[in-house]
Amino acid sequence: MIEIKECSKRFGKIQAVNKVTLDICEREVFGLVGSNGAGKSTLLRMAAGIIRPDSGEILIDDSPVYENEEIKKNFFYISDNCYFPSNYTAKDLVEFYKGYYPGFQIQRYKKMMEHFHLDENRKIHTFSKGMKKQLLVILGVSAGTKYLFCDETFDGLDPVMRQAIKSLFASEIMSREFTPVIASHNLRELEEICDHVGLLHKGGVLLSRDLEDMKFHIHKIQCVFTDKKKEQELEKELEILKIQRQGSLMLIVARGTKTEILQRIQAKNPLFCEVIPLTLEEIFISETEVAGYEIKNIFE
Amino acid sequence: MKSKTFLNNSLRSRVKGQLWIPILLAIGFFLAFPVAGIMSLENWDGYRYTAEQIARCYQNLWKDGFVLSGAIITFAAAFINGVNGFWYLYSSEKVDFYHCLPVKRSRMFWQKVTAGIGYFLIPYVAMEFLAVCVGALRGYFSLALMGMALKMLFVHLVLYLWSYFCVVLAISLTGNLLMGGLMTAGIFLYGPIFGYIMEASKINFFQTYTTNNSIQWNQEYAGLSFSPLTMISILRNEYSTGQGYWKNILLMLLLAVIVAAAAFFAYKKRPMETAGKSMVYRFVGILVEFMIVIPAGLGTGILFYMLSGGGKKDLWYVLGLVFGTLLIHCLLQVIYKLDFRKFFDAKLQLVLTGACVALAALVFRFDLLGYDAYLPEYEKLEKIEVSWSVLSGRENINDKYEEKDGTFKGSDWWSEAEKSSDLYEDIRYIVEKQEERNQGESYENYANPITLKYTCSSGKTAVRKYWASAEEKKEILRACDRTGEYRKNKYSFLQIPSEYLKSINCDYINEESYSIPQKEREALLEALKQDIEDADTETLLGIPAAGLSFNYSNVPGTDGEQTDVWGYAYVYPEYERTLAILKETGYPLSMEEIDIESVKYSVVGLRVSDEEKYLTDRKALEELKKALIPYDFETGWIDIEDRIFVSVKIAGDRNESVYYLIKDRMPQFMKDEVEKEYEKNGEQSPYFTEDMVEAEESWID
Repeated sequence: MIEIKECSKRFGKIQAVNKVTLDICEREVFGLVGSNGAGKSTLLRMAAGIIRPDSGEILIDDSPVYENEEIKKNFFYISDNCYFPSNYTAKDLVEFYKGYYPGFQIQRYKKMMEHFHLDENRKIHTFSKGMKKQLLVILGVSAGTKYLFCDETFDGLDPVMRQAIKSLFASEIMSREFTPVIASHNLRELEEICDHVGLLHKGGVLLSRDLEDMKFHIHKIQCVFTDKKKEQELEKELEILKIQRQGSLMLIVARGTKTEILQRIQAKNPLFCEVIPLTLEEIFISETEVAGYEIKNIFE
Repeated sequence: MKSKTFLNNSLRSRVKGQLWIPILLAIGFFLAFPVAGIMSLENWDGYRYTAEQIARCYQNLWKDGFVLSGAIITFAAAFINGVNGFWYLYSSEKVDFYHCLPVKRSRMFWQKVTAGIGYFLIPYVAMEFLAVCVGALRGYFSLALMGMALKMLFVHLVLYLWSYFCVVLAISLTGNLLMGGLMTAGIFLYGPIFGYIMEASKINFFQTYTTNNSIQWNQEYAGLSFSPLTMISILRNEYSTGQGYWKNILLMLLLAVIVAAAAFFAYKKRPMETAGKSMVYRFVGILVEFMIVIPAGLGTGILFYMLSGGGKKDLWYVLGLVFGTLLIHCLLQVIYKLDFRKFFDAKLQLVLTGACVALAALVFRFDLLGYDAYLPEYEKLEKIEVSWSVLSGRENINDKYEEKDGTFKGSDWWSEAEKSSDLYEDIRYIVEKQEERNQGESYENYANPITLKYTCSSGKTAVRKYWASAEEKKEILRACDRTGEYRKNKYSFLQIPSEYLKSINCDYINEESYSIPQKEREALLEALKQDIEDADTETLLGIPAAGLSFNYSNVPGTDGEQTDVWGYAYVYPEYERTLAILKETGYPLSMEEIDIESVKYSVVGLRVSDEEKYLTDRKALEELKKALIPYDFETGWIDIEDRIFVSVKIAGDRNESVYYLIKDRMPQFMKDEVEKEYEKNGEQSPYFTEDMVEAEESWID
């Protein structure tokens, strides 16, 4: 388990991370979302032991991560920048990483390279941006570490590849202790992959929720009533996060299970009632607006 | 086990992409050792040296030539390895790549250091071994030579470590290429540049400061500059003469350890988010600012002072101080913050550095620390030594020669004076009079300054130069001669066996020269040795009657090479044995024997230059003759009148010769001529003294 406790980091006059507290549980795909400059990369770099927090602490499996060789063997960090030593091939890189990660699974690596159609004898600098990211994910998974930190790793990957990686993560989680932590500014990228999402804004955590839990407890319903009085009664009965009206059509985002909400609406005899699937972005918009934030500003 | 895994990994994967370094260094060391060795051997063959001479030269090559050529490649190796290993710190991408790995920073640091040492040592040892083999193939091999090769390896290894850690320290303290380059250059050049600024300030503001001794320069600045660049020149000089090897190795090792520790902590504690910034640690930035701005301000000030002429030197000095301080401070701010708009940032630092510059400038300009007035207390003074080199006329070229196993080594020498309270009081008087003697033209009365070295019982030494009168110099020379070492050292070249003596030339008082025939050389040499030994001190303070130059060739030196030695000795009128032999040559040995046809003279050093005048009157010429001394026979303890330029035409000679006038033998008509010229220029007579004023006043009364 990764525990980030009251972690802060300041770069000169800029407060990059401000008293962030987060728990990342094992065997879940954790998504760290936020706009550019929200502090995602800084938080991941601190979690990877590259930079030291000004205050607070980061514990991985109950031990501080900074300058801790043993703990650092438990994770593999994929940076946003995709740096590779000059003239290295994928094969050279495997040799390089094998020395640092004793559990490096060479057979698994070879199999994945074949699966992703990557040539291990080709110089890495000739790879495309997407291929470099695929290679890093393969190396990260093959390293056999318990945690995988991915900073904007899915940026630039096509949907097919994203799906392939999602499957890869799923199979890893099924077969061994594996917890990917993915930082991204794109909510849609994470929607398909993550189990749990933490939202960062201006260096702080706005919320951290289980995605299924959120989806299970928030619903969007469109309905039409003939009687205005019943509409008002319904507004009082439901825990409404957001409500919009288009003529007589009501669009309601409310907290509660699907059954609960539908039961209450049906009791008011609507002319029409339908549950619409919520995107992750919509869930966040609803949640953050309730919390008093203007979500449009966050993801602008 | 962990180390083993790590090492295996390092060797296999890290060498990948870095193989060019040992290859490049191997080429460098190949040129520095085997190629340079072969070329030298070929050259010596070409000079037709004997096998024994070549063996000596080859041995010397291992102590001197290879040390320098190897040092050049060593510096390059240190720079390449330092940059290659730690360059990544300037890039946040590379920092992320390396520092997310499960390796502690300390381990990563030493891994890079050991890799660097490997890249340096492997080609070094291979090429040094090849150089030994080249020598061995030509028949020059011994265990002693192997020992020298090993000693040279230590020299270069320690030099490598020191330079390497300097580069690593510079990179670890900075966040970008510009600042890293400046910092590296600063670490290597700071000491020498700082030394030169201090030197220039002392020369210009301290009247008793002297640079006439190169050893003093080395000790004061180069040795303490903490720069590998200057240290290698000292080490090479001392090592080649067989001195100071371990002392210098230990000193360099100590410096290397200090720099390594600083580099290690700078690396270990480095906040990795500082990649791209100028300075990693703010306090280092402030410290560097003080270290650079203060000498830069003083340096610009002294440069303006030296370049300006006339009476506004002080104004230019102040202007230079202000300009240098302001400019360098502002430039540093721009570099630190990578923003031209920050030109006038950190005003408090500017005020503080400006105050320090002003204080340092005042210390130099007004000698607030009493540099010129320094004279150790008598009780604390262990010895007083004198440099007679400038004051000994033609004899100044003499080195002190020391014999060891039939070889000779020449070196500068200081003549120790017998310590006494009288001598101390004489020196105190000289020290107290310096300010006065430095005023106006009065220093002209003191011809060449005398250089004294004080050694205190604490081991501290100080060298000062003073304007001193001929009488004062005589007193000091008497004290030197009382130790019994003065003439022994001064004429030490006479101990070189006569088999190496190729010629003796005699310079006569009429400015003619004569080569002593071979058959008379031995007798003349013995006579001179005997005369020098028997002479009393006053004889040595007299006016020479002749001068003898001795040319020795192919004298075996301690460094294995043969050298030519040149020595000079004045022959004083009391040297009866020597003069008896010289008399047989028929040349004049006193001014009385010379028939002067005419004298051309002019008073010099005045605003309106005096026209040349001729003296042909026989009576006047006879009177003037007593005051004449050949140009080459002038020594520091003969008080000469340099206000008059005298050119003498000897009867029968076509050319004129330059002579000096001995002050206390000057005829009155000549003094009158000088006074007349001074009056014409509206200046006070140089012969006008306070005694004369008193005499005049008493006469009026």
